[in-house]
Amino acid sequence: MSLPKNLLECLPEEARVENIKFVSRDTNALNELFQFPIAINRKAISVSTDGDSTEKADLTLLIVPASISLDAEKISAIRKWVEGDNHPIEPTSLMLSLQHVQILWSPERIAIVAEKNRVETVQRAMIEVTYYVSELMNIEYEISQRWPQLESDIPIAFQYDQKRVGRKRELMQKFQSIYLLRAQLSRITPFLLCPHVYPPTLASQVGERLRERVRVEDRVEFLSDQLEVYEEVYELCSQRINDHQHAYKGHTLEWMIIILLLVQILFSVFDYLTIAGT
Amino acid sequence: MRYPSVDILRTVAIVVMVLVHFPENLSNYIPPFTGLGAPLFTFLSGVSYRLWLNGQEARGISDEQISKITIRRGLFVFGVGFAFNILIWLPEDTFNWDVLTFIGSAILLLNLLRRLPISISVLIAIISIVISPALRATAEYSSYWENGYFECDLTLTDVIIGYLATGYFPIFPWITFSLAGFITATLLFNPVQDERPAIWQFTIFGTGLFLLAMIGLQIRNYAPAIISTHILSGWHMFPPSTEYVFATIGMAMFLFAVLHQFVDLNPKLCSDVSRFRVFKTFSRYAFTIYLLHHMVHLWPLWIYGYLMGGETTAYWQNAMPVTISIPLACLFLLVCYLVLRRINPDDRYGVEGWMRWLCG
Repeated sequence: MSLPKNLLECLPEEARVENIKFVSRDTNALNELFQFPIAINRKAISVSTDGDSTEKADLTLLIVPASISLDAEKISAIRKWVEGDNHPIEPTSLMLSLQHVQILWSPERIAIVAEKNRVETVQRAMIEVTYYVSELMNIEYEISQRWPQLESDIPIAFQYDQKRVGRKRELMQKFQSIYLLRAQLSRITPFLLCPHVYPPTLASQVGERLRERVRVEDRVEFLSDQLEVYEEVYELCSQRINDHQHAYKGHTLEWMIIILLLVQILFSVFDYLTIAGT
Repeated sequence: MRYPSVDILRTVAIVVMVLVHFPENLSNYIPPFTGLGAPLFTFLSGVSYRLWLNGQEARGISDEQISKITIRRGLFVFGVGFAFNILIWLPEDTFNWDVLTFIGSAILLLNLLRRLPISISVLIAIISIVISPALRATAEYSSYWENGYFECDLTLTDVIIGYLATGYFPIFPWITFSLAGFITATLLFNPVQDERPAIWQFTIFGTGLFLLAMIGLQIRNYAPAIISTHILSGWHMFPPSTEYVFATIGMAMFLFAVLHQFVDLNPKLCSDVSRFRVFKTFSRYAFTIYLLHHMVHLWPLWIYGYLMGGETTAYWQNAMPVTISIPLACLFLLVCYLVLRRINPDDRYGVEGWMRWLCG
């Protein structure tokens, strides 16, 4: 990704942009930046998005090696770039200032202004925590989009009949996707809510500060509550569907028996009629 | 929604019936395609009922209201069937159980079956084919058809036996045709697209039934007497033999599936409405044409016989050579088309319009 001309002009020459992609741990890549724990099964790699490459980076870092803090004008230009694409959940950027390190953060773009020897540590810390926070935000976004659907599905949690048979597959998919989101949240929660590291390091402090600023603890709790509502509704829906399927099979069998009995009665009546006729 | 495939097949059915009834009743000539119109007509009664149901359900009409309309329509057709028997075939044939009384009964039965699992309709259709030979054997079918046409005493037992097994269009096995149409349309026009079976499956199944009937015709000579007499009894419509039922249901299913695939689902063909004007006209007024063509060729026969002083039915099958009766049938169809195409579909002309006005 290239930087806007006005931003390029005001930055030191050593400033660089790092495009990062989160890929599976199994992917072979030379330019590996960070490896997540096995449970996450991801690693961050540096990618080039110039030229013919159509790859879109998951995260873009602007690294500005500088020994002194940047002035307000430069910070404003960087903030504008960081907020470039309005994120649906986090439209404004956050600014963290810690041990002569300045960080402007948004879920997709981060600017790190730090001394040269601290850049790598901060970069790794930001990649790690940003991945977890972004995942959390993605789940929040998915959930927030589904409220109208949930409201329309609530009646099915009470009653499911033959007229709604056509919605079975759709409900099954929703049920699955909600549990997938729950699994995703459960997987990242230990890393989002991990206790403070002692003795603190720059990397751990950067991560903890960001988690505090985005209110990770509260958000995880709210999200968990919201997912519970979805789960309850779709669990009831699946229960109704299964009950209906069982009842339908039993109903069919009962009708088959009734039809066979009717045939027997028909034969008896017919026999009686032919005898009465003669 | 109107499907050209249904219009085409209903037109074929009504044209076949007109071309059969004119020479048969006026000249005692049985055309080679005799016996193909009625199966198509009854099969389409099941298809049309399902399409009508889908339309009503899509419009949000309540289940109770659908039942009321269906029962009124069924009783209307049943009543018109009786009126038809009395007025066209004269009062002594009131209980000959013609196709209209059958279709009226079928509509009433389909109203019950529409709420049950489709497998129950399949079961009834199969049972109907299986028990029909047994019912006919129990009732001694041939004793009701001694002169080549159905005759019964006006007793309750004979009337019920005629309705169930020995009349022109008894419930068994003719209900299989309506059920086959209903089942085919239910599966083919399932509102849930993912659950619709592929059309080729119906084509294969229809062909399979037809081939099965042909095999039945071939092996009947080698079968034990009880089978060749009651089950594989050869190709005839009265009574409908097992081979006849299989072959005609197979034919109807095959034609319907093929036309649905190549006409209904062909947007290029369907976009040009004028292409199907003839079929639409005949299909829309099929019920009226069915009644009208009997009036047109039978009433003059009865009046002429009455005026000549003999029996009213003296000239039945003996009125004119086939070289005149077939052109008369063609002329009737032409006049029908020219007159009916001028009628505004919203006007309440024709029996179909009266039925909609009376029954909803």
